[in-house]
Amino acid sequence: MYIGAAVILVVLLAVGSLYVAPPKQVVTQTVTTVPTTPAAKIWLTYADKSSTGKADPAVGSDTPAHRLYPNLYDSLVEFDYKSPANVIPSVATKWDVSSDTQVYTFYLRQGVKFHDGSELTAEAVKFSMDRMMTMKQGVSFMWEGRIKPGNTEVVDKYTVRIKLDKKFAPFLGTMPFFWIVNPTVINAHLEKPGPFGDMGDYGMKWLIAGNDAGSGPYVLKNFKAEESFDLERYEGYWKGWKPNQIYGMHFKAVYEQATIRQLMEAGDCQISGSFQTTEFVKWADKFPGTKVAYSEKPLQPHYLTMNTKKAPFDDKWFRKGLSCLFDYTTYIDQIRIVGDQRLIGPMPRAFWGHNSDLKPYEFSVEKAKEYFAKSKYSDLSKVRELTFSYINVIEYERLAGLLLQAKAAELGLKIKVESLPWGQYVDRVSNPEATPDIVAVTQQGFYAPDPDAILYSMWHTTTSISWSRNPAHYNNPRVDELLDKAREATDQAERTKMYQEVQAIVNDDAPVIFASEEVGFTPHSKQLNGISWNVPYLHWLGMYGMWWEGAPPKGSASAAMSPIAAVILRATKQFDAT
Amino acid sequence: MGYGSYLIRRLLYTIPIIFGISVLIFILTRVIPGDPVKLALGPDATPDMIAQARRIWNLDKPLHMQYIAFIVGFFTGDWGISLRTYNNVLADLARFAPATYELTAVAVSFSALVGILTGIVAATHKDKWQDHISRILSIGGVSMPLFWSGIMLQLLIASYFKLLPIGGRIGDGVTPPVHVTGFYLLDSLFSGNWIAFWSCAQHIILPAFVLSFPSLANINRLVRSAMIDQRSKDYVILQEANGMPRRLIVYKYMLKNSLASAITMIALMFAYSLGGVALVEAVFFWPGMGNYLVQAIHFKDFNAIMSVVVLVGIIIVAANFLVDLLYGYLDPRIRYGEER
Amino acid sequence: MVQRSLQLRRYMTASFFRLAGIPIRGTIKKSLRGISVLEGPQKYRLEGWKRATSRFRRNPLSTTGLVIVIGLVLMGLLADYIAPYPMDAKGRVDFINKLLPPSLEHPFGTDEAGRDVLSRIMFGARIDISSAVTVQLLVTFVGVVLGMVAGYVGGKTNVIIMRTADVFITIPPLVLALAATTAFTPDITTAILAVTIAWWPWYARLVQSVVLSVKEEQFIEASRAIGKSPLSIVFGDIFPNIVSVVTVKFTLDIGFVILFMASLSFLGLGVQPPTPAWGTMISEGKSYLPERWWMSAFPGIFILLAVIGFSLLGDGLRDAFDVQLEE
Repeated sequence: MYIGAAVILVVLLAVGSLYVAPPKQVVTQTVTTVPTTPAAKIWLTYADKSSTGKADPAVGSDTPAHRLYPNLYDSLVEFDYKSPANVIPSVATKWDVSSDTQVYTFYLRQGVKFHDGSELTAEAVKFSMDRMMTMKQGVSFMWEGRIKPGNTEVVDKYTVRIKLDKKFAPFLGTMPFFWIVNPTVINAHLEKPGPFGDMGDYGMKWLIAGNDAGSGPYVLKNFKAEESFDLERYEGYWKGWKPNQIYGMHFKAVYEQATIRQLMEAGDCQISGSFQTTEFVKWADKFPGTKVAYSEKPLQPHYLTMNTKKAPFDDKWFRKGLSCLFDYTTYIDQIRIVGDQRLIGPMPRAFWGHNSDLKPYEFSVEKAKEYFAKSKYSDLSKVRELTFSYINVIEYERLAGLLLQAKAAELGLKIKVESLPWGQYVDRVSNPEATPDIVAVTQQGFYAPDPDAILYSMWHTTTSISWSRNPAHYNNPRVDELLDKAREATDQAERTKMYQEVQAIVNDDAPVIFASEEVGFTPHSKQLNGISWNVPYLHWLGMYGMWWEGAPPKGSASAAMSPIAAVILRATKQFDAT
Repeated sequence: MGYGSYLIRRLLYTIPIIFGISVLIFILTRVIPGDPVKLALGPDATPDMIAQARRIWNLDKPLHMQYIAFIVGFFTGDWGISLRTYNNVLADLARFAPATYELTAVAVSFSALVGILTGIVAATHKDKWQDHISRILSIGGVSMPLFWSGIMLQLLIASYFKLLPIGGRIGDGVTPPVHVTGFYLLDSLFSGNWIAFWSCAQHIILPAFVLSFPSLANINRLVRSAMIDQRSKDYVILQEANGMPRRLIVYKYMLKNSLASAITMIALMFAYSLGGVALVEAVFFWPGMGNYLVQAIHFKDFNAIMSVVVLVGIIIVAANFLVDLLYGYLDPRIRYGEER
Repeated sequence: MVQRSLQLRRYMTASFFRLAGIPIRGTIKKSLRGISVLEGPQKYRLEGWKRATSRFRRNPLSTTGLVIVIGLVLMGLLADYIAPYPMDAKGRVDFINKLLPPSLEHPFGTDEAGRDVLSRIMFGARIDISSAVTVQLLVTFVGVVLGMVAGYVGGKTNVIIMRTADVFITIPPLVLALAATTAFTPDITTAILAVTIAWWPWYARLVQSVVLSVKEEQFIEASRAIGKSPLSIVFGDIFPNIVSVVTVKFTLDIGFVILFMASLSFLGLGVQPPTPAWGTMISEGKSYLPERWWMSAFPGIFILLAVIGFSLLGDGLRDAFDVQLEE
């Protein structure tokens, strides 16, 4: 009995010693004192509810991918962080366009070094484009039908020419998504046999395992798939470095909202992503050490798509009726909270060519009844139970589902709300039979505010097979015709007219519920600056443009530790703060 | 019936079990509607790529061929490629499994220690208030949803009182110790890395405590009933009659006899905890096998699922075998091979 | 001798599983003692019931269990009438009132869609208890059939069935159930199927050992000698003895099935939102911690209550029927 008590006492003492000083993180990295010492290496921690992403720039096309690529790789041109998304020179200093707009000649700057020290030349550009269009994954869909392997030619060491098989007006706006890889490194890590003949797997496996073959400002280190990775500064980056720019970033996949919150509260995490609950965003707005960067102009439309290939969604009037059952105001004001705007037609107003004559659908039970009466399925109680699907980490989509479900139930229409893991969703939308009835998607704009980015990828028949494009499986020959013509036309006024007609048709057909123009947000520490939301792709993370003010992030300070630990440390002479 | 033949019999018994597990899990995971290949390659894969990948991953062969490939691969260390992480599953597990073992080991050790102690207390104070409290705690321990108790403790201790970290295995920015065993606590001790040790210790306390509840409850009950059984044994009565001090009787004799069964119980507890560890890992975002399995299921990553289940099955079978070994050794009747 | 030590170990194992109510081997104890051959199980049944009820009533713990269980079941059945905001469990949303802390109007607060947590817990009782009972019925059916076949037919069939059961048992139930959900879309049917797959072997083993031991009882020999057909032996003599054992285990396990299914829902692989089930409520509420603790805290308390209630009830039943679940 006494022994038992003694043991418990010892345990309590040991555990208690941990509490004597609040257990702050103790780090072997140096640097305490003065802000803005050139020696201060600013390390950020980024925690978000998403995976680490595929580190091969020809493979990924989603959010985690665009956390990696802008930092590890360079492109010929890039988005201008300082002003509404324009394209400015990056690796290419200037470019010529042929009179038929089908041949682009890029002149590269000299002295751009890959991480292994070799120089970036036109050869690398050709290799990368051929690689991208051979592998046909990732964002290769942007150039599908217009660039094949072989279309790129090396004119001389610093000049490269790309031939387009068909005219493509938005071409330049897509080029920031084309990343240049290091042929030497890739060729050294080909795995044969592989799906690409002589090129084996084109180095895909090696890259995805957590390596980079880039020339960008950061190097990929310590990649633990689905867990974490580090981005560490590449000192030889061609743009050079200024004090207070970020030295490194440590990414952690954290799926618990409460955990991200605690990390930010304690200062252990300085930046997070857009998948948080809006409650969390409200908190970050108010918390003294953090603030939230919002996109200045919403560039992503949020749709509740309806599978137009399956009854009852094959009937236009049914879809219009359902569009009037969604409480847009409650969604925007109570669920999203962050300042979304009403989405009028399929395209946000930030894009040029927006058709301002369109009449949006409003929440009105009366109007809904009117529309339903005109449809084949006017007896709502006889309609089968519909399924509303959402991606399982996105809370506000779930709430939107509950909202729609509640209002629909008032009219006797049954809707079930179901969560889908990302992988399953991708799988199901490729098949019209398996596609969920109603799906919440945020359309990605991908490239500069050219309407083609939003309208083509979503509404053209040929793109109706993939996740970001057309879970509504919408086919309209007139829309296809207009989109094709507009892509190739060069006169902006002409293109505007065509796009406006497209928007009118789509708005009338109502293949999706136009839920909102989504505001993107990034909760971050107040000391972090340079977060830009002018980039069309919502979750693009460009660390080079950020800088840090004030005392280095918490993780760099040497903190108090419990007396016993301190004694032990001193005894073993490990207590060395510098 | 010597010890040797006893062991061999037990060993032979385990083989069909493991075989059965592999068949079972193979069937369960291959009956998948939907196409895991399309999933893995992403939305923009062409039909060629899909056919190609199917060939590489053996998915175009008939089921029994796939099973044979799986078994062969298992022994050669090729446990397939995870469709989610694109890594070799064995490599993934080598990364995640030690975390789970460490957590479970700490949890079981704690539950063993506290369970035995409280069991003794309950037994020696049978039907008094200590006994009743112990019984209530035991029932509570077994009945409480692990994930709920985890969340509640996390809330109280990590969020409100900020005494311990909210989750994870090691503090941010603390470099993990040099890999020796994969057990951070041990590795940091080996390399004298006190900073890492304290960080890991802080992080493991809450999840291990939560995970230990059910085992604690069971060991408590077990030791209590074993000790109570012992009490009525002849030798105890004899010792009491001879005037031997109570404490001596309890700790030297009764405990030893009860411990034999308690020790075998502990190995079983380890195996039993492997079930609940997935929940604790989810709550405390502990990067272990449980989390890996849950993510794999969401992704229909059947290579990973199969490997994890078979691995867990093997561990449990091994634990049972170890128990038989230990028990056979401890029980002199088996060790010296009595005649039947 | 080896048998003895293994038996001893099994006793220990059985004690552990006893608390969880899962027997390794079960036999009918000497309650059968003193029954004359010719009267057979009929007399046992009559006497057994009378003794059982009085024993049950005398035990305060089992009555507590009964009270809790009845309370929860009633709560689920009468939810429509006693819940303050029944529509909140049926799809009504009220975002203006979301995330309110516990108050007089909402004793357990509101959740992220403005729904009253108390009402949802009441309706949740329905889903949780009924799906657990469904699982138990399925499992009992499968287990009893297989167990009876294995026990009565014996020989190779017995070995096959028991070995298969061993394979299933070796994998921790949660892991097995998780793996079983892979093939299907996560929803309540999947969860029920998955739990059934993980749970049936215990019942099969239990029933098999009951059948085996009863088979050897004298009155069966006598019955066969008289010339009773195998079918009537099975249903007339063996079956009644299985009933009490299975009933006890059935009740004991309901609580743990509730716990188990809540774990599945928590991991996102069971009951899907917006159905109010306790496990999903806890997982939905997780994202709003730490300030909004009420959404996760209260459902968990009810799960705890349910498990304790059914365990006590089952324990009481076991003592009452004097069924010994270890050798």
